[in-house]
Amino acid sequence: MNDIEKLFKEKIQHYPVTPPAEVWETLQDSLQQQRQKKKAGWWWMAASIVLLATAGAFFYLNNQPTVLPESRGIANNPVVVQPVEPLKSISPGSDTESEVNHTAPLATVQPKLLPVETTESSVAVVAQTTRVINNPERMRPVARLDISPLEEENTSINPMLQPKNLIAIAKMPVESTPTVTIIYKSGGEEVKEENTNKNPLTKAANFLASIKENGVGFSELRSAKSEIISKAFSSKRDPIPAE
Amino acid sequence: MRLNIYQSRTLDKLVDGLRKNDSRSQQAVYERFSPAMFAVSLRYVKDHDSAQDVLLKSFMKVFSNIRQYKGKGSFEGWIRRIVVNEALMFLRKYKNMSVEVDIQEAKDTAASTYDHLEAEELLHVVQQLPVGYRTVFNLYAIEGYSHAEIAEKLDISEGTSKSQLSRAKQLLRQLLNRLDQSYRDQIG
Repeated sequence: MNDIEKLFKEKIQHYPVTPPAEVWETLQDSLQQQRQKKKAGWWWMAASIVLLATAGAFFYLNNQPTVLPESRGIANNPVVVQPVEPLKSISPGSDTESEVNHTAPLATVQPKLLPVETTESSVAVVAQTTRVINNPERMRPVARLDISPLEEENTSINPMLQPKNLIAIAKMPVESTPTVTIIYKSGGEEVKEENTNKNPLTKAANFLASIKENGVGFSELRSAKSEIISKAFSSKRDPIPAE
Repeated sequence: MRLNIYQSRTLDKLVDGLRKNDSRSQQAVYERFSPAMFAVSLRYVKDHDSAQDVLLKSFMKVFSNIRQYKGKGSFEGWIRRIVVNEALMFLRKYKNMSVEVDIQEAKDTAASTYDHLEAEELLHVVQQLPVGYRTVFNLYAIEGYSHAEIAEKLDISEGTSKSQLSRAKQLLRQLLNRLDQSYRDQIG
C-alpha cells in the first residue's frame, strides 16, 4: 500500500467527530413519529378486523330464519284460522288454547275441530298444533309469530302456557319501552346496568315513517337491527316484559 | 481482552434492543457510534449541514433495517457501510462525480514527513479534494473497497476509478506540502 494511503487510513479511519446535539434530537423526533405511525397502523388493522367480524356476523344472522325451525320445538304455537266474519264462537280464554296435550309424542299434530255453533255464517275452524316439550327450560326461542289479533293475545293465552323465557318481540306493542338488563362480567364483580331504550320495533316503525318523509333514517334501522342481534347473541336472555 | 469481551456482550444486548425497537438502546447505539460515523460522513460530504443530514438518514436506516444485520461481521462495519452508501447517494443526487482539475506535479515526499499532522488536519485536507477524487480516495484508501467495487458503486469504469485515485493522491501530496510548509513556518 502506498505510503500516503497508509498515512490517511491510519490517522483518520477511526477519527471521531462528535456531531451537534440537534442531530440526535431530530433523529429522536423521527423515530417517535415512526412509532406512532406503526401504532396507528395496528389500530387500523384491529379496527378493520372488528368491522369485518361484525359485518360477517350481521350477514350471517340476517340470513337465518326469523322463526326458529320446528325441530327445535317451539312450545305453544297456536295457529288460529279465522273466518272473515267476526268471531263470536271463540270467546277470549276459550278452552282450545288451554288444551295443550303435554303427554303426546313429539311432533304429533292434533288438528282439532271445535264444536261450533251450527250457524253457517259464523263457522269457525280452529286448528291447534300441539307439540310436546320435554324440557321447556332448554328452549329459548328468539321470536314468536302468531297469526292472531294482537288484542286477543293477552286474554286468549293462558299465562300458564307461556314459558318464562319466551321473548315475544313480534307481539310487543309498538309503543312499549322494554327494560333490557345488561350484566357485565368483567373483574369478578357484576355490574348491572339498566337500559331503557326504545323498543326495536318502534325504531323500525320510526324508520319506515322517516323513509316516507325524507328518504333517510337508516341509522334507526341499523340500531334496531344491532339491538336484535345483540339479544340473539347474549346467552342469558331476560324476558322482555310484554305489557 | 476482558474489556473487549464485556464490550461485545453489551453490544449484542444493544443490537437485541434495536431489534425490539427499544428507544434506550437506540440512543446508546447512537451515542457510541455517531462520532466515528460523523467523521465518515464529513470525509465524503464536505458541507457540515449535509454531512449531518447524511448521518441522520444513516441512523434511521440502521434502526429500521436492523433485521438485515445477521450478527456476522462487525456491527460498526455494517453501520459504516450504510453511512458510506448514504453519503454516495447524497453525492449522486447533487454532484457530478467525474470532475477533473488540473494538478501540478508535486514532489514525491515520503509520507513519514507528515506524521506530525493531526487527524483533524488530515480530514481537512481530504475535504479540500474535488468531489470525484475525494470519493474514490475515501472508498479505496480508507474504506478499503477494490476498484471493481468502486466502479460498480459509482457507475464509472475501473480505469476512471484508478486514474481518479492517482490524481487524488497527487493533489493530496500538493496539499500536504503546503500544509507542512505553513506548519514549518509557524514553528520556525
